[in-house]
Amino acid sequence: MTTTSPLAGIENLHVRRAGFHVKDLSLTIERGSVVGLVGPNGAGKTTTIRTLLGLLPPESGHAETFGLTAGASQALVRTGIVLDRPTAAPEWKVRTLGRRLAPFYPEWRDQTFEDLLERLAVPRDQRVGELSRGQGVKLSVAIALAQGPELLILDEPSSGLDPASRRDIGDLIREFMIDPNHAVLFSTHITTDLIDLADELIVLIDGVIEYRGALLDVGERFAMARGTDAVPEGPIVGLQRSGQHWSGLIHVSDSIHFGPEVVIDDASIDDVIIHLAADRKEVTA
Amino acid sequence: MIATFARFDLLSWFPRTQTLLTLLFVVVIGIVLPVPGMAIVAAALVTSLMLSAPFLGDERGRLDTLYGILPISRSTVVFGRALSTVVYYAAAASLATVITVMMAVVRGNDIPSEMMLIAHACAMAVFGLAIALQLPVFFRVGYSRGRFMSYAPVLVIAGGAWLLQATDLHLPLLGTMEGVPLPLIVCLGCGLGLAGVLGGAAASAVFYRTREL
Repeated sequence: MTTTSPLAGIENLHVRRAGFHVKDLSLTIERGSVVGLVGPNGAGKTTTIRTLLGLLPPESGHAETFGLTAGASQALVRTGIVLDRPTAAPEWKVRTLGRRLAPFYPEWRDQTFEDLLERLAVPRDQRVGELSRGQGVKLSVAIALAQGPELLILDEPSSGLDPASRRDIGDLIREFMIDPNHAVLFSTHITTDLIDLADELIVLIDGVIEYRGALLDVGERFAMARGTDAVPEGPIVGLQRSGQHWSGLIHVSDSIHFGPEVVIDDASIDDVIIHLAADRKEVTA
Repeated sequence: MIATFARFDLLSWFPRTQTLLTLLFVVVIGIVLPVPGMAIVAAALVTSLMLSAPFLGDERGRLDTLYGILPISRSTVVFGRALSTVVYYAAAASLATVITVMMAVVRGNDIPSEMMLIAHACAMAVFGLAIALQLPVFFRVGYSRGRFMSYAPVLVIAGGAWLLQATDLHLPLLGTMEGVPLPLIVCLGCGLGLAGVLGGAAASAVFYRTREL
């Protein structure tokens, strides 16, 4: 049965951390959707996720999952969580982790855990501390999926993974999303991982959502304008100069403001992040 | 869930060499020192020094984050940890009792049952004091910032003993203690121990509730 209530939501969240401030952030994660959370280092992605999990108390605002306050046990039992490093003592053996964690999760599936370790080539007899970073992430994914979650939250899972492993993780997420009641929040620096995977994109910069919309709309909403010498008139986001050359992000609807001397290309997700994050925004020459 | 977490916790830190060596230390005290009951008191002191060990493990393995994402409440973590330390103390005290009895038999002495009861009462009180002093600090600030608290119970006991001696109050106190019936001493020791464990765990739960993990 599919229900329409969002699996997770944040409302007017303010969290102050050393060096930055998540400001008035609101978002929802609907059932059946994969939400990509991207942004430069220090943008507040991890802080947002940790607040959603109840690991960080917000200064103000509200975060909830499954209609319960962030961190509630009844919500966490339905949430699979993959952080940037495995949360396990370095001396624990991989094969014992399932036995240790299973008592906390009524829906834990030993066979799924074993199958995922096999599929992701995580060595069972090694200690957690002996695993490479990539193997550690794969182990975290196996643990998260063996819990039988409805919501999967991944914080930078692809860092340190080779392309084949990143594809494996992407395939697992696609399989997870076959169930329309499931949802995923995927924070990443490697934005190409989101292509063909995410439905929705959130670009977080300096603790503020600078863009939120369908991933497919990025190409329809933004374009890259490039040229040499003088910057033409027209609204340019995050103008950057290198010698005589300049580039900037523009809204596709603004492309009529630029003459033939300006080259207009498709904008990638990286282009959007880089230019939205650039200090100089909305420059009108 | 408290028992489930306590089991999980014990599996994390009890089988470590360091932990097992401290139990061996209790055995050595029971064998080497001829005073009956010393191993039992040593069990409590060793436990007070060992209380920081699971918190050290938490920091090394980022286990606080794991506890934060496990589907259990933070107070379950606190009371589960308190229970796991009680289990460690029970193991150390049981071992000390067995060694004390064995050594009495080996030395050809009577089994000092009265002395053992008093030693257990004192040990319980020391254990309760250790929990009450240390657990809230470790749960509030973690191992790195709170490790000095490992020595707090020993310092409190040694400092109290020194103060009594320096003020010549120890003799009248000992005189008063001689008149106290054994059941009352046992009840007092057990009561202090229990109050320390419950009070320490309750305070820890309050501190841990708002900690960033």
